[in-house]
Amino acid sequence: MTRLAWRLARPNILSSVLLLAAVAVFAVLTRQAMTAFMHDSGLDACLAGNGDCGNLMQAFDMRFDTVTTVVKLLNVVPMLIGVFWGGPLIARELEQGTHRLVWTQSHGRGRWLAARLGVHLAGAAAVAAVFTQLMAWWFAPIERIQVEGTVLYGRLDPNVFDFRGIVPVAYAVFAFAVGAAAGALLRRTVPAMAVTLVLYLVTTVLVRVWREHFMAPLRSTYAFGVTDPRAGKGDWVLSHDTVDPTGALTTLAEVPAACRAQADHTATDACLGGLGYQWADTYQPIERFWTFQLIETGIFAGLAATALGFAAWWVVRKLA
Amino acid sequence: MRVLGRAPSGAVADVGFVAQDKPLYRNLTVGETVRMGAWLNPGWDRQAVVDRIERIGITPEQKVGGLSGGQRSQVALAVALGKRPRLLLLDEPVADLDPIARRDFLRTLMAEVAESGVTVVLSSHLLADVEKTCEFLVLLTTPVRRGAEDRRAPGADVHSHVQLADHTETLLAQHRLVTGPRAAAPALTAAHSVVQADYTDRQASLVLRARGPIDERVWTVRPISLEALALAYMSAPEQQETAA
Repeated sequence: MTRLAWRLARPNILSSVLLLAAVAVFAVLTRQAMTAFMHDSGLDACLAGNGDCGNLMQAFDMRFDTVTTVVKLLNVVPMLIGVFWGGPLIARELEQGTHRLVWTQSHGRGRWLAARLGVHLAGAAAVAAVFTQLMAWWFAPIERIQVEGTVLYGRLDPNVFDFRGIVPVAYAVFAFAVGAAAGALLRRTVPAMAVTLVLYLVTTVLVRVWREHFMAPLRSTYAFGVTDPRAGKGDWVLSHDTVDPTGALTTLAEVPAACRAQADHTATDACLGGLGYQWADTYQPIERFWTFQLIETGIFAGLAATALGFAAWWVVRKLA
Repeated sequence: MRVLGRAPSGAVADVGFVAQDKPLYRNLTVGETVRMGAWLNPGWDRQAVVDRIERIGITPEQKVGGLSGGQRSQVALAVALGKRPRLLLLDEPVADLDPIARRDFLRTLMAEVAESGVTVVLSSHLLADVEKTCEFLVLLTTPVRRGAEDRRAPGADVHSHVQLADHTETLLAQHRLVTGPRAAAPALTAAHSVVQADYTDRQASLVLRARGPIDERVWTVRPISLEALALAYMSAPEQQETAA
């Protein structure tokens, strides 16, 4: 049964390998360009010397703008696995009637389902893991980019978190499980794929909104004109507020006109700092990266297990 | 319900089944389909399947999706027989086949029955084929008007009942197609069971289940084909009353 499942998964595996190969080519080429630029522009040396590399980094960010835009597309990989692996898995068998062929061989439908789900799950997890590793390697140069003490692509940043660590594997497994369950329930490939797409997007968006509440955020206050004590760490900053000397929230538009009239913003900051104005940041510290990864992996693994359990129950007990 | 003396779930390995649409994985080759049978069935008879495939005249390299309907049916049958079932269930096996493919399919089937002694239960609307192949006939009817039947969702509960179940030889021996003068009909229908009766002004033609000898001086008595017999039963679900 497992061998049949492997044989039937062959087109999926082949297309995934091709896709991964294409991504690898892209990653190798762009990473070479990025490291070369860092070296040639002196950014490397600057970062090593702890100097002010703001301008060089901004230049880098602009030069590789299109490359870093790709980052936002990486999140679709688990979704594609769910839509193109999970959706058709059971639905296509039901559509083409081949379930009547396999269920009437010497092993029943339970064995069939276990084999098909198992092989595809292993494949989905493997593809997601390889892809994540590849992207982590590719992303290493970009991760060092900071503008004025702000890490642009910190690991906890919502745009980056999703394809780092172990959550992509959980996303892929979840997307696949939803696809399989939808296929079993709807018995039609295309509707199952559409439902998978919608459910996956809705779930990931909800969890993404919820993510900053996984743990209570920390708060850090520091005077105007003083360097942020956590600059360059790559924290996930949730809010960045101005606090007046009494400790109440305010905005830069409401600070005393005398300070606003200063020659440059360094002088403005020094003026406000002297009056007792402070920055108040709420943030999730970068040290929580793995805790957050584990929490989110747990959420998606739980949802995936529920969907798979439903699919198994439905196929074994309910399908005629 | 018991299958081969066991609960149905325990008899799966001994029961072969070919669904009406002859499902096979279309993107596998014929050779892979045969290997699939070996993967899925411990008692797989590889050589017999390979021989059967060879006799169909297709090569293992061909894609299942590219086969004709007749070839696909033959492959599906070969796969179903490959697990060496003691009971083979065929759901409308030849309904969608052209006459030659139908003949070939049934020929393969009959050869297999002769060789291995497998019991075949097949459902069919093609009565001529049933007559050629079947030793035992079970006629199911549904007491629903035809129009209503068509509109029913597939899988809905169908309350068919068995109208006829007997050896075909017995049925053919008992039933007669009888024509003769209408005036003599009441005496005849009183003596025998009437399956179907058609009357014109002077003539009566009847399908009878004979309970004894029929007077051949009055009546023209002919043997009936299984097809005509089944048709008579199906078009007259209730046993016909005597002449109107």
